[in-house]
Amino acid sequence: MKIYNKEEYAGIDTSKLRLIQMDESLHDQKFETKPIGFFKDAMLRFKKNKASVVAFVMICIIAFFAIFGPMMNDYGFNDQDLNRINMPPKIPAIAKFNIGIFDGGRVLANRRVVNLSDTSQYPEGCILAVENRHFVNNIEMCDVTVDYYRYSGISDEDCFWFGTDYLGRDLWTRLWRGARVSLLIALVSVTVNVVIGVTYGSVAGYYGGRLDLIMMRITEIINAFPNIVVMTIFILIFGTGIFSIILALVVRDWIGTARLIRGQFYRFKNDEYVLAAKTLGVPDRTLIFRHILPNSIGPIITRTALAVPAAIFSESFLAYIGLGLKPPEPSIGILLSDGQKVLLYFPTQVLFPAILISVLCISFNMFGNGLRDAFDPTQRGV
Amino acid sequence: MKQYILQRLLAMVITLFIILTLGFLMIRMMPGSIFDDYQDLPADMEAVLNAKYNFDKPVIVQYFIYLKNILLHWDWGISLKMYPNKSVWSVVRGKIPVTLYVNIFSLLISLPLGMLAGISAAIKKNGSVDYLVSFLVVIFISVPSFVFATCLQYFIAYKAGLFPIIYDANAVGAAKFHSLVLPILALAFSPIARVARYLRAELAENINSEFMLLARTKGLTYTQATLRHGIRNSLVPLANIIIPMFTTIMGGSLVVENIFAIPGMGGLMIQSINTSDHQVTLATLMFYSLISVLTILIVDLSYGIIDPRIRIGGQQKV
Amino acid sequence: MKKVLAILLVSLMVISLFAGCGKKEVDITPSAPPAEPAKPAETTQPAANTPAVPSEPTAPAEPEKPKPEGEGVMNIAATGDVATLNPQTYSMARDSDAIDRLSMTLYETVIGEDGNFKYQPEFAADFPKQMDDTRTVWQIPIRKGLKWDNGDEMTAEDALYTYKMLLDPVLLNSRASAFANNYIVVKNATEYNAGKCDWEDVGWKMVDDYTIELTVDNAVTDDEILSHFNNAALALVNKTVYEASLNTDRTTCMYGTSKDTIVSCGPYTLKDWIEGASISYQKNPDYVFADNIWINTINERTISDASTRLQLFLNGELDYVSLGDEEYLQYKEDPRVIESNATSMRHISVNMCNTEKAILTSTNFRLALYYGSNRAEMASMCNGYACWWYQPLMVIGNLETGECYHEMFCEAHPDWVPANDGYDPEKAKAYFEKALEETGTTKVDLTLLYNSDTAMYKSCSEYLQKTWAELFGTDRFHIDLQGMSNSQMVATKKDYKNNVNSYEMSWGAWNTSKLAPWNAYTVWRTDYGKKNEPLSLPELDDLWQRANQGEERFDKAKRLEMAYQMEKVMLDNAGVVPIIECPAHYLKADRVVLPTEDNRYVVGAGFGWNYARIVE
Repeated sequence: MKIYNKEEYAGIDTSKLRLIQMDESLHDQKFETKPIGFFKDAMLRFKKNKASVVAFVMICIIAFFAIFGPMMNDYGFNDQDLNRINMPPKIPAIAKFNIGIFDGGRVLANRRVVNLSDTSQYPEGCILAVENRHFVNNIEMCDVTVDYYRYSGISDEDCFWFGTDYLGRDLWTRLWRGARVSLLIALVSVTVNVVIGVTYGSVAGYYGGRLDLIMMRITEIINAFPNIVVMTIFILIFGTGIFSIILALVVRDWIGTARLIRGQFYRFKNDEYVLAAKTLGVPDRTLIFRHILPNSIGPIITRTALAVPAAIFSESFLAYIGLGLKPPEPSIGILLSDGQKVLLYFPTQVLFPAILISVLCISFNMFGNGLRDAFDPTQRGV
Repeated sequence: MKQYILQRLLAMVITLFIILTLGFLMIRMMPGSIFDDYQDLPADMEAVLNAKYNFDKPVIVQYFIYLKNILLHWDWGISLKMYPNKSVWSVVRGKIPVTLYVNIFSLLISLPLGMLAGISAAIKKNGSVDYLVSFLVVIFISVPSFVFATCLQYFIAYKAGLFPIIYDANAVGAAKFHSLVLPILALAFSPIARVARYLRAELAENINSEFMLLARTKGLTYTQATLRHGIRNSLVPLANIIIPMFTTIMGGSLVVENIFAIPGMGGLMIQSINTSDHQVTLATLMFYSLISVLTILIVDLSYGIIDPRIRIGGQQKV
Repeated sequence: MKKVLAILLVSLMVISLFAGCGKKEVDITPSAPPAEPAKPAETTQPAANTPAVPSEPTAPAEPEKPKPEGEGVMNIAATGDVATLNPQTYSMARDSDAIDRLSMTLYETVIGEDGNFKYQPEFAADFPKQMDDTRTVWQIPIRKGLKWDNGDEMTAEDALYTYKMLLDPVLLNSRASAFANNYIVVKNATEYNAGKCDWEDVGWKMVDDYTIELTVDNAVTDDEILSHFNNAALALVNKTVYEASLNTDRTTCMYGTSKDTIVSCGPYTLKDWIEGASISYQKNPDYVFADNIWINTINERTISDASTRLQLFLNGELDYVSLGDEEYLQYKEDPRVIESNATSMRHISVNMCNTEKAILTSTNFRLALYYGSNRAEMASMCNGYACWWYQPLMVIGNLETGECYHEMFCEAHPDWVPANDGYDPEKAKAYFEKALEETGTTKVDLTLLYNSDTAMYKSCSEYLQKTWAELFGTDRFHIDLQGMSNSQMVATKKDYKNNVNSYEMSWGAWNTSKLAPWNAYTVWRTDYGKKNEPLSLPELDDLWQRANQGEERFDKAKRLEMAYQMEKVMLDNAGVVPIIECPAHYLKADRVVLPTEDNRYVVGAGFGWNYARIVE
């Protein structure tokens, strides 16, 4: 809808204006279009938002790889080979283009030049380039780029699409297997968080007064303990394992949602329609969940959408402090924390999990944005 | 209003009290004895040591002694392992200032930048600025602060030499700020992103409301209407986010402090848990709790100031 | 959408065009070194410049001496900050480095002219004198003319006061046993500490202002006395400042907790101390061996992040840094790398008192694990040394020649040396079968605790988890891995005294005496006070008793042989399963010249950073 100011209105060709519906009467005319329910309406709006659709497709692709990825090559997730540790990624199809990525090449820094001609250390044909020659204490040093696969004596048939980790395990397989576990943990913990948080927040927000005071103080007490203390103690008591990790992630995260919902309730609970519903005798529970809560669908959805990658990060935090899943089971968090230790030396080990998490983050965010816009009751019919 | 503030202050004191109690009990229950490090301790010596530090008394009695020391003498105990014989208060007191410095500046920087980003994204919704801001927001939220810290340190301090690589403890004034710019920046990225995201969402929602339509029909331009009317309404949930963000920044500053060699509170908690230095752990816990509870109190009070619809903790009318 | 695709295709084609001109010839011929600029002598002229030593026969008479105030500034970094400078309460290794710089002990180890370590009387004027045939009464002469930094004169009174305070029954210092009961047992010292007798009864008396008489419970050798007093915990404290730092009821002492509560008498004085951030030292011109100290200032900063330290080093702001595993890979061939021995042997210990899992009580099970561990592979993965022995390589067997104990063991008893670094899969399987039979177990399902602070433990644990299972049969053998922080892991292990089932298997690493291998086996004794794991081998206890407290120990050859026997007992019973030794690597800047010509790490004395020189 456009609002015209005086100048713009003066410039319109008024002959094109025509009055509609002046002589006919509208009442009792049949509707020509069908009525659409709330959800169908929302879906239509959702589809219009291109970014959200793309995000949804990305999420589906990731889910597909999470399920089928590990089966795509022959390596298991725990196949160790100490002769193949920390290999760079190599995809033969891309290596043919010779653009310098995914070709199994790596720069070895600070090597002595005299050793370069020694074929026991540098097998035939593996040296690709020699750079940065300089002298340290009269010994000539350089940075040499090698085909790491030839350097380690691996035949050209074997290749690791995403490289290997510190035990020689294939990262492609571990990444997708880890994505499975991480997504599972994230989805379950987020669902539980939202359910608990919404219920708690709505009860506190609706009733107010003393009940609200006590409930909020309880959340403050839980919140005051720093994350690491709570999680450490939790895991000390319950041990590690998927179930207890989910519990550890849940124990504090619902508080943010609860406080948000409570704030929203304060905004909306004194509106007239609530008063009207109360006068009609609607029970409290229906009032909360059917009348007031849908106003907050927007923030809830935004929060949920970004909570999934946040849960993966929390799980990675647990992995940093050594309380993650038991090895050798991978998860994105464990891969991130293992890779972060070697961030400056083997950056691909952290790059791929990080890209995966970022893509998940962006996708869920866009998806959440789209859902929120789609479900916004104020935009119905627009 | 005054009665509300008093009520909340009382509640805050009670909360802190409960946290102290729970913390004390929980820490006492953790395994490990403080005297594990003592070289070759004969059994009777252990008994004498326990008597000296009151460990032989029942937990309740220890708790009351601890409480009495705090309330009467402001004596938080003595560090036994981390800084032997130093009073816990002097250990903590030395580390608080620089941590607060970094965190408060982070917050201060993030506010204007975040608001600017959020507003510009919301005004031209679904335009190219909006997509750019959303993209950057997601990056800044998902990438942890230590990655930024490492990259900033490597590229700007080490390669380009524009800022010192680590914090210089001897510097004062402008030089101190110069050596702290990089950690402040590293910690500010995530808050900027959060502020931008929420402001954009709220503002976008409010732009569709009727009072905005009214403002436009009255004759205000788009910008004027947004700035004068839209933003005020969007600030309500923002207060809910900004101030607790302070606590989050504090929590995240641990790794950043490590990377830039800042002698702050960050590592104190974890180190004290690892070395089983219970007095220090408790004192650090109380410090974080105090900040956390204070920020929540400020947020709740600010609700009443910013949003006229919510003046008090909501008693049910009707 | 179509436009975007088109642009993408075009750019791809352009890139591949450029990439195609890839393969050129790689030049690997070494080039000539640059012309030598006129630099002051590097590490190539050792003898003439080694301080305080008569020069080589060909060089002229007077050796070079440092300036009284020293020259140059050395910048170093520490992984954590100095917690306290009070020798009587410290617990961190870096605190002992600081205490060594600032104070003196009666005897110290230094790097001698031959490049090996040697004992040297520091506060003492000469080596201890045996006073009677029972070898229980000794006299120690004290140097004359020494002063504290604040002007107080140093006499034997300082030695008396220091140890009186160390053993004080009210202060209850954590390091009290370092004096009372370590290499030697001072008469009545423990009793005084427990408050059971008076100070006059303790076997540490002043004969005159510059002589002290020491009385011990059992007969000792003089090198035991030297080892006993070469301990940072026994460094001297200044009476004036110490008394001023006591609180009113004398239960706590604030000595050494800040810049104002410490006085120096050692090679360096405290110049500045910003707690948590940095500490700096300045050469003490009045130090008794001031001629060995060349540097004017040492600045030490606390930087816990490894990559930050490396960046500062490469930028020239630090003079040496320690290299983590990954960084070492980058700098392996760099000539500036120096290596120090591993301080301990990393091993896996089995809780043999565990009542829930019978398999853990079996010696055959431990032997199976011992022979089933492929140490060579793990060592190459972690840049360490495959370790099948029980005393780390840094332990010295012969104090005069500085020979490594382990090498002496292999030379003396070649038939006791296991083949292939102790990896024998067939033997392992045989022992495993025996273990299953004798305990009546069909399936082994255990949890292995590892230290999550160090990456190497995780990778070795995962490796062993897989290879042991493959070796013994995945249906019969399964291990779960559980990571925890180091202190938590130690606390859990130690808890076996209260709860026998506190753990099943765990990593561990003991850091013990480097100069007395016969004493070092004390950590495997049944009665060891600080025991972490329930290991009990009566043969070992008996041998240790004889080698350290019996009469036979005065025969040094016999004592050494008993040490070899103890090693054999451990090998035969696989008391713990040794896996690997991880040496530490450092990068050293060229401007710092160490006292050893080849930058060697001298066991017992270290690299000798305090005695280094700055060469610009």
